Amino acid sequence: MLPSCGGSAMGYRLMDTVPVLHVTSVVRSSRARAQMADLTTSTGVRDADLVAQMAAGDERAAASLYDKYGPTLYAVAYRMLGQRADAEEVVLEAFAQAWRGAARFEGERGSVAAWLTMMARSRALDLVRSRQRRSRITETAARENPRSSPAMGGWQEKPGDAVESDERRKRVAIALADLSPPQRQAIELAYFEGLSQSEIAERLSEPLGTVKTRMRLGMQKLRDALRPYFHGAGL
Amino acid sequence: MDSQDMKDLAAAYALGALDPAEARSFEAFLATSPEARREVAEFREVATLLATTTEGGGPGPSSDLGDRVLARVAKEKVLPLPPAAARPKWIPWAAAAAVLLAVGFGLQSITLRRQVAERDKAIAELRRDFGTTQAQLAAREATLNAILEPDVRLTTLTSTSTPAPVIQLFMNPKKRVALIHTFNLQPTESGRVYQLWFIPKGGKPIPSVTFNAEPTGHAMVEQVAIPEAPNLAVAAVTNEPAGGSPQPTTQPILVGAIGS
Repeated sequence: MLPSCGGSAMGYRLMDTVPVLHVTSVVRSSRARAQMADLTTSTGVRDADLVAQMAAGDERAAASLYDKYGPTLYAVAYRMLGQRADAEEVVLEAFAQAWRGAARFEGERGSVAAWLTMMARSRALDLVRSRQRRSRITETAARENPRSSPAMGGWQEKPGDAVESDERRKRVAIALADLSPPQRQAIELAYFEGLSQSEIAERLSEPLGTVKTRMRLGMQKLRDALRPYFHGAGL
Repeated sequence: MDSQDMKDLAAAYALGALDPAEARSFEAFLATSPEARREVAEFREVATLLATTTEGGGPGPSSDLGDRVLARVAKEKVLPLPPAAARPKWIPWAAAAAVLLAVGFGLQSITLRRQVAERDKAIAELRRDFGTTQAQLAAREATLNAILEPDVRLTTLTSTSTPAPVIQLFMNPKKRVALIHTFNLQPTESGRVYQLWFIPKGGKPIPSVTFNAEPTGHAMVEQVAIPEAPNLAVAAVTNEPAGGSPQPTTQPILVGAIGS
């Protein structure tokens, strides 16, 4: 593409990569400053800083993020894959991906926790699909006992956990229990099984519209109940 | 798209429950709707909270997983090569080797010195190539960032001719900067260019950038300054002599309304 520069006195500059880089970095840092001013939780400030440090090549930041979110990423992966080695591989790949993409993280699109969790879940799904395996527990539960909530059951308090994350987990469990079983099931099948809405509709022999509505209503209820417990304040 | 549909899609998208085609088409919509992006961001936080419920549900990871994460991250650090200004770790070795060689080991040292010099030259070339790639990647990333920023609005300029050329005008009113992206736009005759105009309501067209299209019909122009004039109502493109004109000399070939 060969844009030509307009001869006007306004002096537009086109396709000049150096100014583009400059604008991007100025934008990012001023956005980060604005974010820090708005944030009400110290968690959020530290996370965004840690990602910026990772972008600058500081491995200690990756270590801090692992300490904080490694357990969640591992747990989601284990829930989806049922094997420790697979779950660990997912955590490694998620952090590698986070490291590579740290410069592109944008706080306005969500929290660092959401970003990392999404990467881990995607890697876990890839692994599930490539190994063509489904968690025995959840498939059985979905087929035989639509009212069960495998995601809720069985978790134990780990000694020394921060009070904040304990409180958060409890609230999420309560909020999930408040959903109607079909709403909860639609959400869990999507998130933990990686099923699309059409696949869920087929699996449950329900109309697609019904599944869509249940998913949205369930997510809205969860959002309204759990907004104070969102990670960070990137919104 | 109505609000209910958007929320259904946002919830499903945040859960990863749209099939790939639906997801891609929703992403295109997301680029144009800050409200939808907010819905998605919130639902993603909900999904993140779902993830936390899985903790404690099985055997924990090996105690060395943290170390392995750091080892994996360190591997990512080996490439890319550092920018020319920084000192890469292995150059001191090469310098030391050159010093050793200079002490004098006869004929063999000349061969080795040449090998070191050739390797240094290859490294310098790789660094130059990498610098170019890095700049290209950064430019592409900046373009994507510019398109995906929350404040960006999209106006599509249309025409009645066939095949219809399309110009997408991504505008960030807060930063006063826009990006033009075209499809099916025929390159102009030689000696002429396309020119963009911002037209305030009831006012004279304000000249903006000139550009041309590739034979493929594509063009992309970044960092287009949005004029400070109030009440910008319309964006238009005309065909002008090379270098552009202070006021349009032809009828617009494409027009679009820009909300203020």
